[in-house]
Amino acid sequence: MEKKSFDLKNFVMKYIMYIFLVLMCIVLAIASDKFLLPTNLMTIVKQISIQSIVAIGMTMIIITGNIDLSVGSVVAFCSVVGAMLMSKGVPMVLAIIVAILAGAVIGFITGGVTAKLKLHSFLVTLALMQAVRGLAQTMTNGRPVSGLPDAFGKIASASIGPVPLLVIYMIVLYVIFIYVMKYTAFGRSIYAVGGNQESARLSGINVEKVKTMVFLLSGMLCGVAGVLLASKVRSGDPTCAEAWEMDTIAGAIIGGTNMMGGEGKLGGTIIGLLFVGILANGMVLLGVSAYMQDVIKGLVIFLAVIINSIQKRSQA
Amino acid sequence: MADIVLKAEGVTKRFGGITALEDAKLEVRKGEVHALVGANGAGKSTLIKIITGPYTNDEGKIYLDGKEVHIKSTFDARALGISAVYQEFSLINTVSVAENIYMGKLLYNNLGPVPRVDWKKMNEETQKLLDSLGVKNIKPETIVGRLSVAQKQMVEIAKALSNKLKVLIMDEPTASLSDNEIENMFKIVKDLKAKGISIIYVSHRLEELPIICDRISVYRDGHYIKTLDIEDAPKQVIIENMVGKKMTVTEQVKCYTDEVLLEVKNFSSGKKFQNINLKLRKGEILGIAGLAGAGRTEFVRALFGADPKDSGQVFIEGKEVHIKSPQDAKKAGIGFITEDRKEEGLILNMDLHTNVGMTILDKLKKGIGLDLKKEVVLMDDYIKSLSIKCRDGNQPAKALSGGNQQKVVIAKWLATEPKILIMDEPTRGIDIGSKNQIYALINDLAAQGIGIIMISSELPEVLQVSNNIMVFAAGKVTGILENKDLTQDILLDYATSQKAV
Repeated sequence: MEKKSFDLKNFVMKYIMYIFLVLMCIVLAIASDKFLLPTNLMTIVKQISIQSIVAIGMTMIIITGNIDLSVGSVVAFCSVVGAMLMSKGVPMVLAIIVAILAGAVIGFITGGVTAKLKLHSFLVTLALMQAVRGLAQTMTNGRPVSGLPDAFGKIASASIGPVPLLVIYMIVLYVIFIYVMKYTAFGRSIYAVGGNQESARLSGINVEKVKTMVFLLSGMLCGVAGVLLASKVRSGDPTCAEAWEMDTIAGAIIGGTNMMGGEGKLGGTIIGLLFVGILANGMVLLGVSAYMQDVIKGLVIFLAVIINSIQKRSQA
Repeated sequence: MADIVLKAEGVTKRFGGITALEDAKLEVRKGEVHALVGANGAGKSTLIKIITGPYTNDEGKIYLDGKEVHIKSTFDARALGISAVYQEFSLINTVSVAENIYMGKLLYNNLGPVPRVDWKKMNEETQKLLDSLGVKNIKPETIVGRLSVAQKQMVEIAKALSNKLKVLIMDEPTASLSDNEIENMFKIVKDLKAKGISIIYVSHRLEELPIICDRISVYRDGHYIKTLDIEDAPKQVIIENMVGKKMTVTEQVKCYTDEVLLEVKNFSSGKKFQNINLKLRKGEILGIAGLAGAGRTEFVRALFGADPKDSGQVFIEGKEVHIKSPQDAKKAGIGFITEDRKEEGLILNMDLHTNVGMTILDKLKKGIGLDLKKEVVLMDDYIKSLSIKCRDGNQPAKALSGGNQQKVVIAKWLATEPKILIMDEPTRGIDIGSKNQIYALINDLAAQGIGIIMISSELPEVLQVSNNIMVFAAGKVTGILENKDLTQDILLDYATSQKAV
């Protein structure tokens, strides 16, 4: 008997965020008759979709024991680059590729500098956050670049049957990166570097390369997100994706990624983002004021951090 | 009979089940330089830490000037007039000499409405202290981080002198000093002695003891052995007492051929080690002996590409290889079992097969992914063949005992199918049962033709396992010996010698 109750406790500890998520959905379903409507549920997923793509990179970066504060700025920069090229008549496909590559280049620089010079990624990306956003603003004089082709708008707004393309992109990318993290040498190296950098190095893992690659991939994903965001609003806006670094970090942390590195799952990150997304949606449905929403969101993140640390301790 | 300043009696200290020090004693006279000697693990450091506060003794009494004292922290010790200068400095690198000396007891003046730190007075007082030590090249305002090791040591001594000082403990004060600096250090020690301060002097350099010490106390395996006047204690006598009379039976398995597997030429890296040469044959077990800080770990880390080196060539099976990183070393067929398995060997939060898979990710590649089944099967094989005690390969590494963790680290490197295996203190901190298993394993591996380099600070272990023994002292090789008719005394003699081969 005693063994069974112990298992239950373990189960609750392990899946507590999921339990909270389900509880929250039940409460919202009872409190609002609109919550469970398929259109509403799809709206929630669609709303988190672009951000969740950025969160893939963020999660990988946090697992290596680093952080990236520049993701929001890079998303905005890439959206501006793509939009400007298109408005100058560059073919759409080429403009998209260049925008994504621009993200990759910034990521490569961030990762390379962080790894080679052994700087703290917090500082490197803090600087880049400012500089890259400023660059996007300078290039556009602070105004959105609009008048993009209709075909470009379709990339984000079209859907296959009832499922928006944005949601499909998200699912495809998550499937790919969950595979990469779990079943490839690169994914395993990411966990090893974050788990114990010296141990990984002495095992013959090229720590610098792994770090650089992770930032490069994250930059690419920011590029993808920038293109999708530009397509969604049909303009390249230098002020878009404001504070996305905070939202994606929050998603990863709520999803159980360890800020110290070495532990975390992309599946958890998507749950974390859903958690925040559903909470925000529910508060809108219930007519909670925008200011109060921020307070509650903040408290939820705070709670998640505490729960995570309790989980870690109970494992030890 | 001279005055006894400090006296320790029946001092015992246990860590968990292990007794680090048992019924130890020490008597220090006023104004004498008293050396503590003993091999690694003899209990010297423990005794010092009890006297200076970091540890508290489980049993026994400590008397200062005939009165029993209870020292619970470094502050207590300092208040009583006992200070220590350790090998690792306790100075703060980012602030000035004066501020370091007055750390925690800054001087204030009361000129204004709010007490203000009196930098002028502190600098003046510091200058007086430095003058009294005869130190000329340090200014009170200098930031400590800019000073040399020798200068920092002077600051430490000045700091000790800034309190009323009765007993000064110096832990390996000459370990990182040049000959000139050592001479200067000795002069200062003699000055302090003349002022009536007693000095407890810990050193592995037996040669310098007659120059500077009055008496010595020898410790071995956590026990006090005896105290001798320095005149009655030539080096041989000291070593005999350090080692004890027990001789280890040396019966190693000799299975090496004449085929040279690894040759290292002229390895040097700054002050860490100089001009190291070695030859390792197929199936040979080469022990590297030496005292702590002799540069052994630094050397093998450079050999493995974990740290940079200034110069040196590596030949494997006659061909030169350039090893600049652990990846290069792994490719060349070298495995490295590190000294610190928790910090450098394993990822403690991860399961066993992931830890073992870490070194062979490229071998596990299958298509675009990894053959994780192979990894699990491999781990299960090692669990059986190395008799690793665990639930299964999915258990996190931190759940295992020290000995079993060490076997996982060994498994991790065996998986790479190495030609050469470097083991740094492979049995440190593990129980005797697991130790013997690891010795058997080392012999097994040698029989398979793997060349093994084993660093160990435990001389009986080196003598038991190695075919040949290299002895390091102060960054140099002082002997390359065939393990025949060797004793701990002989090894210690080489380990404390200053003559390189």
